[in-house]
Amino acid sequence: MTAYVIKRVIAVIPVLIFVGVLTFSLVHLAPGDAANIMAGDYAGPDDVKIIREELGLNKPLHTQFLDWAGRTLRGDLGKSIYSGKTVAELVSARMGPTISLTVAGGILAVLIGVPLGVLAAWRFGSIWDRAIQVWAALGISIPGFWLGFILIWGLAVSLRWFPVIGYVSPTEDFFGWIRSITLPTLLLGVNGSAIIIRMTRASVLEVLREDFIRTARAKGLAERIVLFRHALRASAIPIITVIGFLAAALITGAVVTETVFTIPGLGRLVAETVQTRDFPIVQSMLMLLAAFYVGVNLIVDLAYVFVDPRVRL
Amino acid sequence: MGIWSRFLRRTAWLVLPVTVAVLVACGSEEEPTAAPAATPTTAPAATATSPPAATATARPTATATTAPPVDDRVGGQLKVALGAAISTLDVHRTTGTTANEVAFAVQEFLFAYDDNLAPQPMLVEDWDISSDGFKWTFTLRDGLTFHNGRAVTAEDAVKSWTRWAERDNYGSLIFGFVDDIQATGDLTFEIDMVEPTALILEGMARIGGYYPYVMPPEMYNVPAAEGADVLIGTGPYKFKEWVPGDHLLVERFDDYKPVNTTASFMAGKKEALFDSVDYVVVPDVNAKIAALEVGQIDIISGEIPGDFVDPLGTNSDLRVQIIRNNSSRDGAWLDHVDGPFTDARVRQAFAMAYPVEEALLSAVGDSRFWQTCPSMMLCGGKWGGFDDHSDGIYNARNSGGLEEAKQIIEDLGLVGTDVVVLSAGDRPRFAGPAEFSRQTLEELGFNVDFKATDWATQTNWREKPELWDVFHTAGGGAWGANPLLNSSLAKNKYWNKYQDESGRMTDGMNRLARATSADEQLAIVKEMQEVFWNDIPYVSFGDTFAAVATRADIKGSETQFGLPFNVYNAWRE
Amino acid sequence: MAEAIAYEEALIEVYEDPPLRERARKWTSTAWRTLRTHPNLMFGMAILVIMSLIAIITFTPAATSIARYDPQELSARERVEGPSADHWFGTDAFGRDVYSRTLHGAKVSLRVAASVAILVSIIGVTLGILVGYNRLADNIVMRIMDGLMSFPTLILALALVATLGSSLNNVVLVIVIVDTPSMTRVVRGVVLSLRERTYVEAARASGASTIRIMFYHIAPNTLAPVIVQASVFFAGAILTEAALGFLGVGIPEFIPSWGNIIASGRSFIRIGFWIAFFPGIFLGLTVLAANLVGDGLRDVLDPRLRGAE
Repeated sequence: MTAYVIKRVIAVIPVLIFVGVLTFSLVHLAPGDAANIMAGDYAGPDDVKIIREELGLNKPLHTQFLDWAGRTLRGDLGKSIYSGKTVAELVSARMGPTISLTVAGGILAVLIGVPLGVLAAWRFGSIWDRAIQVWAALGISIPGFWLGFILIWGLAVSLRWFPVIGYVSPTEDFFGWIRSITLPTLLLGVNGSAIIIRMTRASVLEVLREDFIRTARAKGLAERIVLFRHALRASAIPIITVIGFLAAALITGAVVTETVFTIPGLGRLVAETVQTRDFPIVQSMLMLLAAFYVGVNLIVDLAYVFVDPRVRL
Repeated sequence: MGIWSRFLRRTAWLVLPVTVAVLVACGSEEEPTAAPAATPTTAPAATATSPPAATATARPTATATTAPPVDDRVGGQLKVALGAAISTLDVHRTTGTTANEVAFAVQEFLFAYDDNLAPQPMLVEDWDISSDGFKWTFTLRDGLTFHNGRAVTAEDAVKSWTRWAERDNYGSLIFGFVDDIQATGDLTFEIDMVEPTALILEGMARIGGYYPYVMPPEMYNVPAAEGADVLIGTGPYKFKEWVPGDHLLVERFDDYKPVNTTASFMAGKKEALFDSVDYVVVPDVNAKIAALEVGQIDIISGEIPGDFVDPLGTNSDLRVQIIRNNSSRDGAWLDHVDGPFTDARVRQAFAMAYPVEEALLSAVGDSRFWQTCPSMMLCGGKWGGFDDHSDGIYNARNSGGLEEAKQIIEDLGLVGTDVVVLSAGDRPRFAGPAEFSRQTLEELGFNVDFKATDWATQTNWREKPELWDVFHTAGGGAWGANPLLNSSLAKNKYWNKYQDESGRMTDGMNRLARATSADEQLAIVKEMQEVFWNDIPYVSFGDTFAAVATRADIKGSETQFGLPFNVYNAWRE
Repeated sequence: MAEAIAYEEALIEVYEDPPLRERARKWTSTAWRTLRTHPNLMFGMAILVIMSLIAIITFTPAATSIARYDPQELSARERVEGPSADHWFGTDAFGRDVYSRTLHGAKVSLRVAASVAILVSIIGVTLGILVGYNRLADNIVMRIMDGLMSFPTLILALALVATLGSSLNNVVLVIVIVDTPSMTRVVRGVVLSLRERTYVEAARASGASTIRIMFYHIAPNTLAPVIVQASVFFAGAILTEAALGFLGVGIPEFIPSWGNIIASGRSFIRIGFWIAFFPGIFLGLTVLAANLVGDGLRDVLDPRLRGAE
């Protein structure tokens, strides 16, 4: 087990190096830099030139790369060109909303997705199955921002049940927090549930055809018990896989969701810093997100061992 | 903008009593000189917190709230929606509007413009100019402190103003007249001139471009590269917290010492009536407007798209206005150093053929939001509104301009030449004009390469003349009203890299900066306008008006110029 | 459903190589029966066919027969007007006809989607087979793929578009880069399981070269999972394009893709819902159709599901 974990962690290193080089190239090859944006619309060529020199943005690319690689290896993720705040400060200020949304969205997705997926598989080919499949297809077909607009205009502006913008911290006002994350959670949950339904349905279908289920049925066990005790458990692995995948999908969804609902989370931080060319932050954020994803996958792999005794290392 | 009289100082003082008199006559029984400077929290309702004539919806409670000790306007939080993230708190180093809007609440100038756009003393108590005009002496108000507790010194004033001037084009213009500037005491400083100019006070009150805030050493000694993460000043609100890209919170500064003159635009008495002001970044215009409708925010900073004016106007909880006394100039900026627009005849042809009204419609909405304007400077300003030398070039498309322009391009043998038009997808206001530039250039026979990117990319391309030929933007306020402050008209100063081959524009600027009478100034501006319509530094569409929206229960936030940025002196009813 | 095309049958067919005409006839009848028994699949196919027809027509001079106006023609004096007899879907902020733009949008959006699906399939199959057969390539390519996959897709796309600049081809390229790793993984998985199968070993024993085995025996059998996956990417590409448009970095605004039209209507949801609404319906229907086709094909093509009903 330990050896396996070590092996998996070591395998992560070349991936992260690749990710690092890629993010650096992406960010620095992008046209435009912070000097222009910091100077503002009325500034002219002379202003921008001075700012660029002050910020060191006119140094040759390889010098900047070495600077950055050196700092990153020392654990210094850099600081924002605009605010001088460190990545750690920015991330910790922005983390709460994203965690709230993705966890709540993930839970909602599982709560909707797993039962519906099982139902669809159990009643394969029936009208239930078809309806659930259409729901699942709809869930991944409707653009998130489009559904977001509808939710905002319907439930927030017209009925005023929920706030239109912003995020309230749970420590500040618990019910305010619930209200502020309800709509975005709904949006993420609908989309996530679609992914889970598809995966659950497929894996339960597969398991239902296996011999041990036939045996269980032959033994005269109630269908309910067959379904939930045997089938669902046996299909846990692919479902865990998809939940790991869901973590990444929810972060992607968070970019759009946070933009639609004006929630100051990590997703919007990335989108904004790309637009304002805040290089140190974009680089570090991409690295951190990649590391997070790799970490989730690692946990998923380890969860296999835990859930399924058949997986031996 | 601006009053260019050499004797500006004296006339400005004359204006003040008049303003006060008008306000008194407006039906308030209040004592115009107000109460002695109590702390802001307990200050009486006093005089001119309500906007003057232009936006006067006559504050209904004006007479009711005269009792000094308890002021029921005090308290609560104001929420202001900013349209874009604050780029930096080092406000000497950005022309970005959101950063400066926040700074207005926190920092102050040595002088500030009043309703008549005359500079009035803000941090300065007294000043004097030698009879030959070669020496200025300034004394700061005594007992002023920065929010970090440090006393404001003349040294801070000199260092701040000098640092501002390093970037601002007005600053560099002024410093061309300045021989030396130095602090001569804790509260006094002097300026020795190479040549007399009336621009000094204008420079201390400068708005548009870079703003001459007075900062403590903790800010002006920090290089821009280190990134300021605090905002320290002397203003009625003090900086509390900044989460970049999300919000910036300011709180009432209890030790604030207002000047004792009537509030007037940026000058005069300021009071922090709210406990705190939260500036929230809401980039999406729908979200911003929806949040205003449900009361999650109180003020939308800057403008709202004109299309929302009618739907929002029916909501009695909101106050929506079209600000017609403060305009911007929209246009298409041309590359003067590379490509076909190096030839003034080509620039003229493009201007002749341009459908300016359609471009304005697509940029800001129906005709309530814009007017055609044939002058070089904004029609609302004192140096605009006349059509000298514009005939046949401005808005001439439908009176033969298009055909003439086609002929010019054909005669020059330019049919089929490549032209690059830039369009920024994240700046919707300029998307329509970009489309019209494309269409017009195609009509003229050019081969248009339409490059749509985001703004950040466009700003970068703009730096390299070979990568573009046309981009679109707009400029307002002093930039659009005063040629000395309009960098597009100065040789090589802005991205259009205007060359002024004849040298007449530069000559005009030099004479304008030294002109002493209003008639003389106007004559010079008209001469410059001739150069403008001949050289076409940029294709001018016309003047656009902003629409602004606030919650109806927020009072006192509007200035004479409509923009609801002064969070001081505002309160919730 | 016993007649459905499935891995193992297909495998046998490839190996035994029956006459082409026979196979084609059998395939057609099977396909028709499959469609009849899978209404979701049928519905999806029908929508895709209609959308493709619209796309093809708008690509030809016949475009004016279904879309009266030039999708890029500006008419500032008719801006943001509601649906009418002249403009069925109303006009947008620049007075362009939303109906014409929506129809022309089919051309752009389907072009993006189809390009992505085809390119990803070709690259994915090539790389998947390569890494399935070569350990060194496996180590190098799959590390790169892991690296690419470790970015949330939209964020990677956002950064890539910022770097490459936003043009139609770049948007396609970016989505291909983002999607290729998962296609490669799918194909690699199939290859790894197939290479140990008896019929492959038989081919190997009878002296077939590795190249021959790869392309004659293995590649055709990746077809089923690749088609299913490609339909998912087809749908995903339309959505990703729309999301990039929403974030302001997609295909240049004047090109009428569905994503762009919706994004341009975003500021007008309140006062001109039609700008975003109608193209939204087209986009939603098409993505739904592609997903239903993907799901249907998965059910039909996956041998593990045969007989489950």
